[in-house]
Parts: sequence; structure tokens; C-alpha cells
Amino acid sequence: MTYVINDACIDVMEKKCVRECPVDCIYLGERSAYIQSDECIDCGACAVVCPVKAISYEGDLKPEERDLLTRQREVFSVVGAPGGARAFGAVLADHPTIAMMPRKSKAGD
Amino acid sequence: MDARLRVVIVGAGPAGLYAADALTFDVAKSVQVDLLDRLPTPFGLLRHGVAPDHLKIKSLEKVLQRIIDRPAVRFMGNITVGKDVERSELLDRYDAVIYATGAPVDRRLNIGGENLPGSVSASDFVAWYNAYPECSIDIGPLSASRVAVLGAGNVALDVARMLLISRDKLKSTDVAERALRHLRIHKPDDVYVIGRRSAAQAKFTPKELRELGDLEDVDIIVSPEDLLLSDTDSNTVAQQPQLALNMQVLHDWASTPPKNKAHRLHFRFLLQPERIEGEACVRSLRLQTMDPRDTSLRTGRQIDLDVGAVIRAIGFTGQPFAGIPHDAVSGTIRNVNGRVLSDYDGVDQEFVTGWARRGSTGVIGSNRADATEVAELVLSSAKPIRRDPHQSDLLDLLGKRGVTVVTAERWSLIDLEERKRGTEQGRPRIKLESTREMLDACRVPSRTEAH
Repeated sequence: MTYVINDACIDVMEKKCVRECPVDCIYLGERSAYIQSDECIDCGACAVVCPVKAISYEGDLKPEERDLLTRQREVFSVVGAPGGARAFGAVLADHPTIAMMPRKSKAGD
Repeated sequence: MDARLRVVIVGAGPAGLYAADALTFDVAKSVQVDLLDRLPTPFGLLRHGVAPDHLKIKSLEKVLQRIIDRPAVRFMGNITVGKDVERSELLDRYDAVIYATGAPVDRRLNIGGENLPGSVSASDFVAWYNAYPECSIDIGPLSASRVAVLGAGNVALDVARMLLISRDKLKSTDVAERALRHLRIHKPDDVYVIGRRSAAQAKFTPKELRELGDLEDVDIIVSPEDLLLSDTDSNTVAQQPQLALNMQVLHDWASTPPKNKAHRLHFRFLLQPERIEGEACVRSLRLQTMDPRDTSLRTGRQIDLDVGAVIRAIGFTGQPFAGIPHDAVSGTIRNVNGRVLSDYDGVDQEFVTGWARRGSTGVIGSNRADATEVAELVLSSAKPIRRDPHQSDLLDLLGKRGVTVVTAERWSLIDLEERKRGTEQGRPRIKLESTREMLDACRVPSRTEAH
């Protein structure tokens, strides 16, 4: 099991989860954050702290949300499990589905 | 040793380790960290708090060990500040001191009967099953067939789960040997988790709550009336998905008829403990029912619950030590945003992180954000102190005093011994249960008491 980031993160990326994650397994793309599920230890710190409620536990996903999990896994197909976002130090290529989505304007823009 | 800043961190639990992490991750910042702990072992509540069956969370120790292994970090276990070394001696040697000492004392109910045999704190119970060294607990009453767990947070859930967990599952964890021997034989028929406020005000997290549904041979009993919420509560639930999930889990259980299993886990809310009854030991628990419309008001109705043991899991608090400013109300070290309000020579040199800073709230990850913030504060504001060039290194000072320091190398020998014993029995590790055993494992000869 793992935690999963949904579309509420896209173009918002508050990044509070990144500092909170005890294993540093939340990686930033250009438009969304992604959880490396092989590194995640299911502690739930990210879900509690996310100001836009973008993170849920895999076990809480509704059937129609299961593709979020697939998407999240696919993002790491190239880089694998780098062992921590800080050490990885690069911006992850967004998932094609997300990359193709129209840009959301941030509130107040 | 030409570090720009020398920092000592008191407490090698997650908060202290994450502070060490943030201070030393960027080698160019040139920070040297000494990491003290009063136990011979690092990892604090990850080792002695997190329940043994939460194997995935326990795997965090691999990440934390990598911090200890950094060249800029020196681990020194088995050292108590205020006993083996004074606060002033740390302030004389380091540019900054960070306290990450947690909240080691359980909150008390302050009701009659609390000291009866059979009334125990969750911290003692958890210390017992997690092999905290030299912990003693009267386990006799814990074999009672009916046990009340007071509190509505994840610690209460851990305690209830450990009482009811299948023994086969427990055998593949690093649960303390002494607990395994006891829990193998005794499993209560009924465990009551009792919250003082409403279900919506419970501090459980949904995953930990739902996990109880996986307990074999246990019916979970929730009464629908216990889940009725005030308008205020309903509004809060509507805004907080985590609470909504909790309520959903509880409602699912409330609508599931019991299947006559051998054991039962009951959730009860809006009940305030008033008195623990019994002569020689706990016989029953008197509870006051609270008003669902305003959960701080008593209804005047009381109920008595026949239980042979009461485990209180109503939070933890800190205690004053080594003359460090302490806030008795919050149970934390007196601080503003992690900066200790020091009365010590007016020098801005002391900081605090983790539970010692903010009280016993949050999950392990909360401490990473907290410690990173404090480390950034240290990096931006601590200045190298004028150090007496003849001042001895802390290790030399402790050596002269005859204090046995468990270094990182010695800790690795303890770790090795525990894993070796574990492998023999198909368990991840078997923790050593006394300081003496640990010192033996790292081949420290028994020293004569005179020094």
C-alpha cells in the first residue's frame, strides 16, 4: 500500500508534504508532486498536512480513482527508486496525462 | 574538526535525527553534530514507541541509520544530560544545543483508584512490549478478561491492537520476549476503547483505525447512538477528510452485526472516567456520560464498566531536567518557534524540536518538518562561541568521568547481536532488554563502581 496524490496538486504544488515525508519519497515534477510507492512507508504524514487535500491512502481510493495509482507508478518507470528526492535533486518528468492537461491558474493569479 | 559550527543534539529519536540530517546534509555548510541519547540505542520512539507489527514504519530505521553513519555525525548513547554531563558543559563546548528529548511521561487521569494494581499507563505498557530497557510493569492484572483503554488516539489503538493481535502475527515481529511470552497465553475477551469526547473529536488516523478490522477472531462493536454528532462536530467532519474517513469506518462497524467471535473490541465515546473502583486491584471503572451537543458538559448519568485492568493512553508530557526552562502547562521546553527562552547568561544558543517543542502530537513525519525548521534557525542564527582552546572534547570529559559511551560502532554491535538472535527465531530482531546486556554485546567490560 502507499499514498496517492490526485489532480488537486496539479499546478498548485504547495509542497508541504515534501518537508514532512520521513523518507523523502515525494518527488516534484514541473506541474505535480508524485509519491515513490516503493519508498513510501505508509505513515500518512503527507495526507494530514496537505492544504489542498490532494493526498489519500491507497486503501481509501474509490474504484474510479485507481488509475491515479497506476499513473503515479508509471512516473517512476525511468528513474526507479532513487532513494530520496533531495539526493535525486532533479525535476521529474510529469506523467504524459498530466503534462497534456490544460494549465490551471492559481487562485489570485 | 574545523567545522564552522559545532552542534550537540540531546535525544537521538526521529526529531533529533532529522535535525542532524538537516544540519549535515549539505557538507558545504560545515556543521559537526554530536548526537546524545540517554539510552545506549538510537531511534527513540521508532524503536520503543511504534508498535512491533507496524513493520513498514519500523523500516524507517534504515533511513535514520544512514544519518548516524555520516562522517559529520557522532552518536553517543548511554549519556544522561543533568547526570553524566551538565547543561553548562554542553553550552561551553558547542555553538548550539538542540533538545529533542520528547515527552517521556504519561499524562495522568487524576482520579481515584488510579494507583491500584491493574491501572497502568500506556507508556509503561508500550515500554513493556517494545523492550524498553529496565522497564518493570506488574503484568498480572493485564491478563484480565476485560480491559479498558482510555483515550482516543493512535496510542490507544496500538494498545488495543496489541492486546488482541493474533499470536502468530506477533511471532514474526520484534516484540519484546517478555511480552511475547505473556501475550501468547493471555488475550482478553473484551477490550473497550473509551473516548472522553465525541467520535468526531477522536485523534485516530483512519488507516490505524481501519486496521483493527483485520484482527482475527475479533468482533468490533460500535453503537450507532455513540456516533451521533452535534452540528459543530458535523461541520468539522465535513471540512476534514481524515475525520470523515474515521466516521465512515465507525459507521461501517456500527452497521455490521457481530459474528459471535471469541473476542470483542468495543468503541465507546462521550464517557469521562470518574473513578477506578477496587480494593486490592481494579474491579470496575465508573464513567460519566457527556452531552453530545456540548461534549464538555456532563449529563449527570453514570455507568459502571466491569474491567480488571485500565490502561490510560491520554497523551504524554515532558518533565523538567538539567535546569532547562520548562513550561509546566504544555509539558514542553519553554520556547518560541523552537528557540528556547533561555535564562542562561542571555546567550541565544539553545533550541528545541519534536515533542519537547510542540507537545505529543503528530506522526513521525511531523518531526522532519519541525526539525528541518529548527535546523534552519540554527544555521541562520547560531554563531560560533568563543571556545576555550584547552576545553576538552566531550568524549574525553565523559571518559575521565568513567561514563561508558555507546558510540556508533558499539551500537552497530548491539544491532548485530539483536539481529543475530532474531534470525535464529525467524524474527527481524530480538531486542536486548537491559543496559547491561547491551554493554556486554558491545564488549564493554563490567567496570568497578569506584571511579
